[in-house]
Formats: sequence, structure tokens, C-alpha cells
Amino acid sequence: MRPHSPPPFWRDERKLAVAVQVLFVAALAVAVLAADAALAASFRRQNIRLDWGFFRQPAGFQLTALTWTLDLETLSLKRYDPGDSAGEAMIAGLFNTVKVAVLGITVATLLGVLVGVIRLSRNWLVNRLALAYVELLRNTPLLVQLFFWYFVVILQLPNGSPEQPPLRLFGDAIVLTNSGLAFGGTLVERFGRLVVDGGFQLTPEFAALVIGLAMYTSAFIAEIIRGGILAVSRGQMEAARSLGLSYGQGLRHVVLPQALRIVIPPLGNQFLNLTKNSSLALGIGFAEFLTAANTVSSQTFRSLEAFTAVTLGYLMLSLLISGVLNVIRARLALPGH
Amino acid sequence: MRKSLAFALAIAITVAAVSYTVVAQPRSRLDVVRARGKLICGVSGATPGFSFPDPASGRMVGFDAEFCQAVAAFVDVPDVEYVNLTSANRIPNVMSGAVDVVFRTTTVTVTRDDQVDFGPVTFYDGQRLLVRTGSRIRGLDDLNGARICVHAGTTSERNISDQLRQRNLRFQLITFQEAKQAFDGMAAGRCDVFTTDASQLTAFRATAPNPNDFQVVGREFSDEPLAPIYQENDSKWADVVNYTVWGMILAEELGITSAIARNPARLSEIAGRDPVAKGLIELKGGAMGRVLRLVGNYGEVYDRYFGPRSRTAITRDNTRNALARAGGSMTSRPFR
Repeated sequence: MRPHSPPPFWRDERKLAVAVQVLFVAALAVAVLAADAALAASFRRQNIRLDWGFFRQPAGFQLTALTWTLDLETLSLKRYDPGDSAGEAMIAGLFNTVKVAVLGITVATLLGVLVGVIRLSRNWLVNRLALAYVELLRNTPLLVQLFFWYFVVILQLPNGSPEQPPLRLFGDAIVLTNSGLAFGGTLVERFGRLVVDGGFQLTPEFAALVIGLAMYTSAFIAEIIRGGILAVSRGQMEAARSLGLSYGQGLRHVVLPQALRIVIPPLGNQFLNLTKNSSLALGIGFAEFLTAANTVSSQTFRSLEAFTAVTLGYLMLSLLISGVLNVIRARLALPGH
Repeated sequence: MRKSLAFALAIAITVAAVSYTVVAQPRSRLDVVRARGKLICGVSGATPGFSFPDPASGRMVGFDAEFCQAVAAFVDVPDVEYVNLTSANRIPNVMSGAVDVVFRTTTVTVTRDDQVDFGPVTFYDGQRLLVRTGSRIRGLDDLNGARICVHAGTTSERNISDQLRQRNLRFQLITFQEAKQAFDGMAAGRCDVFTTDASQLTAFRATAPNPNDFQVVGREFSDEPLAPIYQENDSKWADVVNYTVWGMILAEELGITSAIARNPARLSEIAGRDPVAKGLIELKGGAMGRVLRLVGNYGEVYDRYFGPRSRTAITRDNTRNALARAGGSMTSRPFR
């Protein structure tokens, strides 16, 4: 019997595995350093200098939708004022993005679940109407839909002139014009038009953005929900029916809870898509994160720094949403999954 | 054996990465354009009078578009490719070299000059207000509580904010990505005022279906000299653009029109008579001759889009757009 000698270095599996990993990390480090050197050389050639201090310079602009922001020194909430710094302007935009995302996700999910369940109806007409809704909204570009809602629908609302008086409900408590939906303000006449002063106002840009985003995303969510319900085996519904539950009760108590586990990852995708698609507000002038950063970058000409901040902002927001969804999925998971 | 292979691979990656940075040599944009055979010119594409598609043929026409053609004729390339740029991406596109020159109603400001270089001023403009006929707005002081539509990312946005804050007036700014969208918002009644350079206000008003519903009011409250922009540190290319514009202005001073430029006998007669005209005509082997034959002199280009018979008429008399010897600010340089 031959004595058992350790294999040479290049035939020892464990040592080879370690060596390959070390080499991979080294090659990666070299590639990253080389890319960094190339970037620095390119900056030098074009005389670009990165300067992160401009975030503290006064913003000097006021956009309608920028209302609340975070004071960067004391980390307290305050009203945005054009004298505040550019960084605080972008944070005000970020708050608006969060508002749009939360409202949009809620409405999109509700609409999507409704349409998804309707798609499974055995009534031919209702089923086909839902199909038309889904196919129309999925297959047209989102920016086109936003323009449609903003320019074709909302801006055609009465503009408060004598020929197109504002729509008033409950006395003057709710007033609808193409400057927005106002709750509890007072109608004043300004420059020949009736406008609402004070109260809580929903701007047309915000409304168009939320409606457009929610309907677009709801079409995708409807398909996801339908797929999730179909993935639950038919035996579950048959067992529920044979226990005496109606179709609706079976759906609510037996099928949907199981379908929910299946649909959470793709649903999370759609939530992330909605959050990032809110940046299309740039086209209709709603001052959310990207629009505020765009204005900052065109006033200060620091586009590289501003848009790096935007990228990091969206990344953090998306990681937050993914994190929350992961926690929900872990809570709902069956033991052993 | 495997170790040395991995080592060689690492060296190869390093060498490839580093050599990428060394190989790029600076060449003038003039050589790049000549080699390409085509000028890539940035314009707006949606501003009446300055750059817009011709309704009949679909080609890009306009005051700015014709200057692009002039520059192409100067360097003797047959083709111009127009790139539609927004006010936000016009400067990054120039800095990165994606376009050769931009004629897009860009105001000369010191902060922009830090990043790009400006050619000679082609149009002196100023900011004014467009309001509905019948609203009682006559100037900046009447704008308390007004809703103002403005083009995002422009000096117009900044100027109106500064002016109204100085007067301590309340106002709401509604910004749009394109000036045309801002005008549409104004026309739909979303706001009470649309403000931008007076030339664009006149042009938008003239091309609206109901021009009499709008009025341009107020004194000019900002200085907006509009000029072409190109990359910094490229003197050869700067000379090309500068001398194209100055040459067109000088041709108007000397009375050399497009028709005269097509007539070699008259051209040589003028050259013989006037040494300045001779310098103009013979510059760079007849470059200005090509320009004048293609688009004409400054006055002809101006009249084509802003002359009294065009829809977007803007008078030159008593404004800074008149020639210097007629009391304005359009000057050239000695072509000697």
C-alpha cells in the first residue's frame, strides 16, 4: 500500500478553490482601480471638478409642490423657503416622492386586486372589459399616459373664468378647477379668474401623477394577482365550496391568503417600479425628487453631483421598500419555507 | 502553470485599462467634423421662429437652424444633423462632445461660461410677460398672488423668482419641461402669466390659434443676449463659429446678399473696391462665400423668420438687434 501523501498544490481541491477566489478578488480590485483611474483622467481632460459643497448654497427657487422639508442642521421639519439650501430643496422633493409612492402604491394595489379578481369572473362581458383595461394600460408608455391625464383630462377642467365657472360641491367646501381640487378654502377673484385661497389643495400635477401611476401599475398588479390565484390549486376552492362557503367567501378566506404568499415578490417589484416611475413627474412639472434635483442642477450646473445624490436617494428608498416587503414575506411564510 | 496564467491575465487587464486613458489624444472639433462629413448641431426643435420643423417639408428651419447650416457651409461639410435638446441637457451635451455646436436661444451668463464657451451674440433679447387680454396685469408689480408658468431650468425661471422676491410678492411657479408645454398650460388657464424671452413670447403668441387672447406686457426686466455654445479649449473650432457669425454680420454691413454672392462678377467687383470685403470673401478659401450663397447675410436670415412679413414679426429698429451703425449692438470684427 502506498503511503498517503498530501496531493501537490495544484491538485488539492480546497487550496485551488481558495486560490481562485483570491485571484478573482485581486482581478476585480485591479479592474475597479483601473476604472477609477480612467474616470479621474477623463475628468482632468474635460476640466470637471466635483464639488459637493453646493448642497449648502441657497436654492433660490420656489416650485409649487415643495412645501415641507428637513432642516439639515437641526434635523427638524420645517416649511420650505427659497432661501433654504439646495440640499433641503431636494429633500422637500424626496418627501413629495414618498407621498406619491405611498398613495400610488395603495391605490394601485386596491385597483389591481379588484381588476385581477374581475379578470377571473365567468361573466364574459365583465371579463373582457377587465382584459381591455389591462392590455390598454400595459401596452402604452407611462409618460404618454401621464401627458394624457395632465394635458387632455385635468387641464381641460373649468379654469375659473366666467365662461367656465369652477365646480363647487357642498357650498364652497370642495372646489374643482384645473388648478386643483381644493378642500375648505375660500374662492377669491384674481386676474379675472376665480381661484381658491387657503385650505388643502391637491394640485393637478399631483393628481395626474398619482392617477396615471396608479392605473398603469394596477394593470400589472392585476395580472400578478390573477396569476397568483390561478397558481393556488383548484382543489382548495372545490374543498371550500364543498364545505358550504360561497365563491366569494372561498376566495376571501381560503384562496387569497394562499395566493398572497406567492404574489409578494412580483408585487414588490411593481411597488419599486412605481416608486422609480414617479420620476417621470419631470415631464408634467410636479416637484418631486428628480424634478427638484433637475432644477438644482440647472441653476448650479453641478449635474454630476446632483444626480449621484438622486441615484443614492432612489436606491435607499427602494431598499427600504424591499426590506419592508421581505419582513412581510417572512412573517407570512409557512414554517419550513 | 495555472498560477502564471492568472498572473498574466491580471497584467493584461491592467495594461488594457491604463492604455485606454493614454490613447485618447485631443483633436480639434474642426477635424472631427470634417472627418465625419456632417455637422451635429443642437437646437430646440420646438421654438417657433428659432428652430421648428417646416410644416410643408418637415425639415428643420428657423433662425437658429440657419446658423447651423451656415457653420456647416463654412467648414464645407454637406450635411447637418439636428439634435433636439432641452434647456437642461444642452450644456452637458456640449461638454461631453455629443454635439459640435448648439444654437438654442442660450443666454450668455458667467456661470455657464465656466463650463462651455460662447460664440458671438446672435440675438439680443429680454424677458417680458405674456398675459391674457383682459387681465389687469401691466407689469411685474401687478403679479401679487399670480400663478406663473415658466420653462424649467432657464434663466427665465431664476429671473422671475428673483424679481418677485425683491418686491416681496407672493406667487406660485409651475414649471414645465418645454417652453411649448408652459405656453399650453397658460392657454388652458392653469396660470395667469407665462414668462420667458420676449422673442419666444411673440412667437408663441403668433402661432397660437387665438393670438388676440394674449398680450405681451411689461418692460424688459432682464438682459438676455443669446449666443451659440461649444466646448472649451478648442480655439480652432471657436474661430470657425465666431467667424461664421461675424462674417454674416459684416456681409450685411457691406451689403453683400445671397443673390450677390451667387454672382462671381459682382463679388470680384466688390472685392476689388473694398479691401475689407476682399478679406471677407477670400477668408479660408471662400468659406464665407459658401455661407452667403447658402443662407445669406445676418439681415436676410433675420428677415426670413422675424421680418415684417413673417408670422413671428419682431422689429429690429431701435432695438439692440440693429446693426451698430444703425444704433444697435450688432457688430463684426475686421476681416483682415
